[in-house]
Amino acid sequence: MEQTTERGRAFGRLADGHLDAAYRLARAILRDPGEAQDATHDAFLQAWRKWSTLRDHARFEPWFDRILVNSCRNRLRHASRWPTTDISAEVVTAAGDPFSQTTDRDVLGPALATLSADHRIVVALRYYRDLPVGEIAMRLDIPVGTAQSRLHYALEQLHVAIDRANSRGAVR
Amino acid sequence: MTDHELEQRLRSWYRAEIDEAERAPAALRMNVAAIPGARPSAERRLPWRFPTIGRPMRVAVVALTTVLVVGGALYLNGPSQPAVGGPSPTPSASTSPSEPAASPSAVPAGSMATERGLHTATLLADGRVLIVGGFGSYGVARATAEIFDPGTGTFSPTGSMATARGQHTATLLGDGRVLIVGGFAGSSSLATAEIYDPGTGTFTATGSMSEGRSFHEATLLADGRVLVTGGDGQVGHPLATAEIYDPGTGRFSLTGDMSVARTIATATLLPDGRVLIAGGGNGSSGQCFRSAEVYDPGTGAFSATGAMSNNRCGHDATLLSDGRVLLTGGATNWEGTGPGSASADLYDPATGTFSRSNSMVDARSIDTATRLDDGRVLIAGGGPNLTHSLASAELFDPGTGSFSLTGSMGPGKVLRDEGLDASPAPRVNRWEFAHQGVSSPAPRASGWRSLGA
Repeated sequence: MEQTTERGRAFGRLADGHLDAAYRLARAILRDPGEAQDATHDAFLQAWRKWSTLRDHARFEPWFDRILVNSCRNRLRHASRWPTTDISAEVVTAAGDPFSQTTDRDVLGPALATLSADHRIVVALRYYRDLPVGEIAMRLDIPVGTAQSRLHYALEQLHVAIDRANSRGAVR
Repeated sequence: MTDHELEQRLRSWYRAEIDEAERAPAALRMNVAAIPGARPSAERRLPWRFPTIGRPMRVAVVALTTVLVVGGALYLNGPSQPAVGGPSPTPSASTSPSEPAASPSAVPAGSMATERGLHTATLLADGRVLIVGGFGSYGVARATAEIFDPGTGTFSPTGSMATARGQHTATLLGDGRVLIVGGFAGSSSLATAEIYDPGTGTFTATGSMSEGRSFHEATLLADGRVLVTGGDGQVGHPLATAEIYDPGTGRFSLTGDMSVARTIATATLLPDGRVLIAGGGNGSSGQCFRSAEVYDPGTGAFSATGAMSNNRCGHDATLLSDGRVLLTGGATNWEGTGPGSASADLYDPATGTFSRSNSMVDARSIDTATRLDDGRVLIAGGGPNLTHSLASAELFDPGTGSFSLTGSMGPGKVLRDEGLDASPAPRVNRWEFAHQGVSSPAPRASGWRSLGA
């Protein structure tokens, strides 16, 4: 019983310390605050169930990030509401000024939404969390080459989505 | 634009989108903090009348069964039934990232994205079903919602509420929107309400009630307003008050009080526009009530009407096509520890009296009752006590006044009582009510079809 309580305390301390960052990462990947709340909660629940598999508590963050990313991925795969094709309606008004931060908020959001779950995750880990590709690979439990390839493909797709929006904006 | 420029723009976009000072919502923080003490925490968060963890999960299963019975009823009017089924992917930390990426369209049918109990399910005007909130594992309230499309047999996410909640009510308004009222968020009942617009797939805040409520009843009145009655104001503090929501103004206003505080009662709109409030309880005597009262929207007052033959909480009340109300089953004592009842009553609004009907085959509480197109009533699931749930279903025939067993939902499929500690996360089973004989003008409750386990 005492052992169980101590386990709970250790988990609670780490969970509390990482909760805000975890929620923000879920927001970066999912964007919707409600989805991010549920995904974060599900991830901590999974983490508690797998708590005994974490031998080194100093490695909590990468271990938990992997769980969180999987939780987000599962939600994205169910999320048919994400637009995946024509984004011109959302981005056309902003497309004339590609270097403006204000317009980036309008352009990049819809463009990111065209990415698959796996690609959206690597982009968030790289450009939101600023993780090196090696760290991303470790968190996703994939080879470094696969992480690089996903990142490359994601950027390519973002270029295409933004260019398409720009060209439609120019026509209009 | 070069890759480097795009990378810079992405970093700027994330900085603008995600405030690094933003903290996790308080409800999430509290719920995550409760995870290590999961079982006692879950018991503490849920009402005392559901003292075991199996109970809310049973409610969850039954609640979802309601959704699919409604969905199935829609199928009955169609030329064919869609092919649905297949196991759902189970969220797991060990899911291999190298597995093939599934596009949204490749997700197996019939599974919600989120486990839920004590959520609501509302049939929308276009035939889809809105699933809102509820509690996930460990009694954590959910903010998300999903849409079940009977045409494809699939669930898909829709907008999220501003406030996570379960034990709330969801009422389809006359204009097709859905009013979400009150509920429980983990520490107290909520006074807030939100409106879901199926056209935009979003929730927006609307007026708030005068006090928080959960386990209350909400009834769409004939004039388009919504009557909200009783419920738990605070845990252990049931309410006798009632409020009216006016969709025109988006505001709640207090109306007359009931004669006693009632929670987990039933509220049924009668053909003449009045509302029958029956049973429920408030813990004062340890027993559920036999009494009932009627709300008159014209006067804004409640008045006593006859009494049922049995004490009932967590029972069903179904308006029959002849204007009478069928009241079935329910628990008899407030703690929910006593046996459920198999008894049934019929309420006649013309005389204001209850008469005992034939009894159901099985004792049931927290079950579902759905009136079919041919006037019969399908009673499904529920259970005789806190530890057993039934897969069986029965039909009430108003012509003969009797119940008879019909196709079972499947042995062992109604309740998965491994509960909240199970890994992977517990998921409710999904059942679709299906009839055999599409060409029949009247639906027949002769079979159940799984939507995937």
